[in-house]
Amino acid sequence: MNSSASFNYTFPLPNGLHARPASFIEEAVKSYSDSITITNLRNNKEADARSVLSMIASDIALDDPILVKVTGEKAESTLNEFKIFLETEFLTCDEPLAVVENKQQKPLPHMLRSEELQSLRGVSVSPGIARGVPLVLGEPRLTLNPETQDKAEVTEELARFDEARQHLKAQLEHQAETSAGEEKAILKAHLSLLCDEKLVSSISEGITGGLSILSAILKTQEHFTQVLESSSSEYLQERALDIRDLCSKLIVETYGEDSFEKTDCQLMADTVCIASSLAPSQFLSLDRSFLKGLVLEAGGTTSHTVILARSFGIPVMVGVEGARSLAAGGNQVIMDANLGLLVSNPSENVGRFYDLEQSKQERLSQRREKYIDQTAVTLDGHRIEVAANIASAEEAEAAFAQGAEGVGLFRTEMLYMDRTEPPCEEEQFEIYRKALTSANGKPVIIRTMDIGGDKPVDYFNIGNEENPFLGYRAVRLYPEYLNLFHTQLRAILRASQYGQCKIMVPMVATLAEAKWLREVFNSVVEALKVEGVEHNPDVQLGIMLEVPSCAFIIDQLVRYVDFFSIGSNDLTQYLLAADRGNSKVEHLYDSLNPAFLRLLKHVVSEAHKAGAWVGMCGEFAGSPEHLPVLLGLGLDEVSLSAPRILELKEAISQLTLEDSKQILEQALQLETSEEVAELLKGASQKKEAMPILAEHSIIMNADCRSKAEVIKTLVDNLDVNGRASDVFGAEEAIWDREAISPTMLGFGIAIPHCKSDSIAVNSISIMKLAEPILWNEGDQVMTDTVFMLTVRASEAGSVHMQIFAQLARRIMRGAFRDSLAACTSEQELLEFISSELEL
Amino acid sequence: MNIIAVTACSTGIAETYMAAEVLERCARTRGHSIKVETQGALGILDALSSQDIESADIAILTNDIAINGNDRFTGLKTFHVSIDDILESPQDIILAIHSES
Repeated sequence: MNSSASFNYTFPLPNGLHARPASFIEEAVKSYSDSITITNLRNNKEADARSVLSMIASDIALDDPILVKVTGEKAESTLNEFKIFLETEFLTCDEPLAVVENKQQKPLPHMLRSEELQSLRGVSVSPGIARGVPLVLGEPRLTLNPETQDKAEVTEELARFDEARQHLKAQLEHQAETSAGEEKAILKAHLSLLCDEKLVSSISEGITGGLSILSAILKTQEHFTQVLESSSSEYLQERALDIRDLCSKLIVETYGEDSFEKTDCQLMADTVCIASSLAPSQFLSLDRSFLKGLVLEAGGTTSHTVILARSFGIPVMVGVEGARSLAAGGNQVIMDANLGLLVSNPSENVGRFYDLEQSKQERLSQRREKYIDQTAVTLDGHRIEVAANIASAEEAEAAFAQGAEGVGLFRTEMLYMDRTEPPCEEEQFEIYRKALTSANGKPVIIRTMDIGGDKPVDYFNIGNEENPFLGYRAVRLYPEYLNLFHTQLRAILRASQYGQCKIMVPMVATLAEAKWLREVFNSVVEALKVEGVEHNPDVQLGIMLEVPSCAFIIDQLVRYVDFFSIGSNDLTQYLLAADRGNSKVEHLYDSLNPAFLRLLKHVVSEAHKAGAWVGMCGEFAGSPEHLPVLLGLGLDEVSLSAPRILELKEAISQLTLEDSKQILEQALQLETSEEVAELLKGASQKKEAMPILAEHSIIMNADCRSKAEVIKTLVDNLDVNGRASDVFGAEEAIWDREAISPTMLGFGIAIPHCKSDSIAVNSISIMKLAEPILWNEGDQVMTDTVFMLTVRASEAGSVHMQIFAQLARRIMRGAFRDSLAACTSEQELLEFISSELEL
Repeated sequence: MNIIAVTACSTGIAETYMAAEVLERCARTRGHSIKVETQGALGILDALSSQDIESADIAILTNDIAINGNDRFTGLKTFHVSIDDILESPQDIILAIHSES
């Protein structure tokens, strides 16, 4: 006998009931014989718990009141079971999403925060700003015409559709099995959409009603995407893409690959290309004189396309879910790969913000230009080589143009990936020769293939591993694939005649491996000699130092290897036993942990004791804020991504080895990485003396149309002149002060000011506006002159403070203001203020 | 009239000194004697001595942030104002205390 039971529930998941939790529910209720409906009491939409789509369509958001109703023979017991499920397991099915996203995002600067933006955030993998027309690539355009599509008898069409669906299902199941993490979860969500009763019955009913399979799929797609797009949750709106994606797959499965046209990708003007993901060949076919930026919805940061784009210096953002639909509605987009922001149809204010931003970037790179051809040297004359990490021969040239003194890491995995056969000796030889030729005598360290479970390659039969980072990878594969390793060594040794080349092997953990490597290396050299093939026999053989065990056998390793390069990412992960991709333990993955710093110190001093060269090529080497540590350690080289090289060289030129050693010694005694970070922040503030007021701090006749533009322009000017250590923090500090009470004085002068640890040099900045502005709504007087006073946080009672106090008093005197108004040039103004304040 | 004052603002780098400047000028042009103690990034300047306080008719104290040594003025007529008020209309303040005393 049928009975029914119900209970009330408040929806607990932060992103609402989207595809993933809905498929979780669907999975759970499969075993029940009773029917379950879920009603969203906010909008009275009712959903069937067996249909993912109907659950999504009920538009359930966080904290919505829900009525769960069970009807059937065992209503009471089913209800209890389902209730327990909702209160336990269900709570954990969708946690990571929101947390991870927020953490990685840089906050927006003030001018953008106050605008209404049509925008999305993403992860920057190649910095820069791009503006242009959006072009969505790879958007499937149907070549079939639903009006005229041939169709067979209804029963035959139904059978054909079912076959296609089963086939796609098997395919997705296979993909889901071989994938991991987020991708796996999404594939599973797609799978449950494919098995969704409402979706399947909607298509089947269409076919029964006389439609072709194609029309039935399109009609169903339209129906469900509309439902999703009208949802109030942005997250659910974006899920419409999943439906489209799945329906496209169904169409391809039924009618073949030709169902969709290859998109035309002729670029006619400055363009930002946007795609779900992009094949390298597709990327290379784009006209790079017009290609200003690339936005990918897929999250991978190591794809071929990303690496290529970076080598051409094209800004790239990944993980921008929904970028295609955002761009589809826009005539213009701005992508800011420094902030990780994509804006569609920018307003005039946003456009002006980016004019200012771009002009600042240009001035910054002009300032750093002189370091391109200079070697990196500290104030006290200590040399440290600054090299580039590259992943293709093409990148080498760009890296040297950006100031690299060598290549510290040439990753060669890319040569092996996305192909069915390994590259032959000749092909590799040409690639290595190209890189060495671009280096023009500068050193190039080529790392032999680092292939493993996380970077699968078809012709390496590695299989699925529980934990690829602790598994069968890199040097551990070489004995089994000895021919491939021989081929690579031969190619490098032959190319080594064309420059200063070194060979580096990843993932060495034992002395036996190092010994074995030397034997193989010697045998390859011997073979080349016997064959009479030209090569350089004196190429150095080194290893990556990324497994902690190596740190304790350096004195023994040097019997077989010539140099070391510290792979800080893996070394951190292996030392602290924490996967940084796992949000629950990522806080443990921390290269500023004093234990890690002590390990580094030990490694460098052991290597130097043994007379070996030691560099570092992980992310840790790429941050100017870590410089005192890197210098203090006495590393011979640091290798980082090319766009940051000039910034690092400049920062090196402002530090001394002596200070850096002291700072490192202090850091080694601290207890937490937070304390280390704090210490390093303070250290970066010790800048060389700069006058409190200089001609570069005075801007006459400024074209600023708002208070926000004035503040941004003045703070950017601090940054360009090396007076701010953190431009974002400095601007925030100014706005924090304005929030207490606006700093406009009654006679057309405003004095924005702050005291902040984002300020590197105490500064007085002066701006005279071309056109007066209203500093605040409701001001009686327009503002035409701005004094910005920025003071370092640690300052107290110094000579500089007296100057600020004097200036403040002077501003209140009419005679001073009259003389000020009479100044017409930067020089005149500088002389006047300097004499008034006795500078 | 014999006026004393203490000025202090949140960052201590500008308004403390601006307010001191305008109070001094405004009071003197109206024939009052004045001494202003500033509590800013330079620490305490022109500190008021107990003699200064004893001989004063009234004290003007800014109330944007807590000032040091508030208890020194117990028993004396005090006038609490914001820095903004001083910067915007110092004359009004001087007039107001004049009519009050």
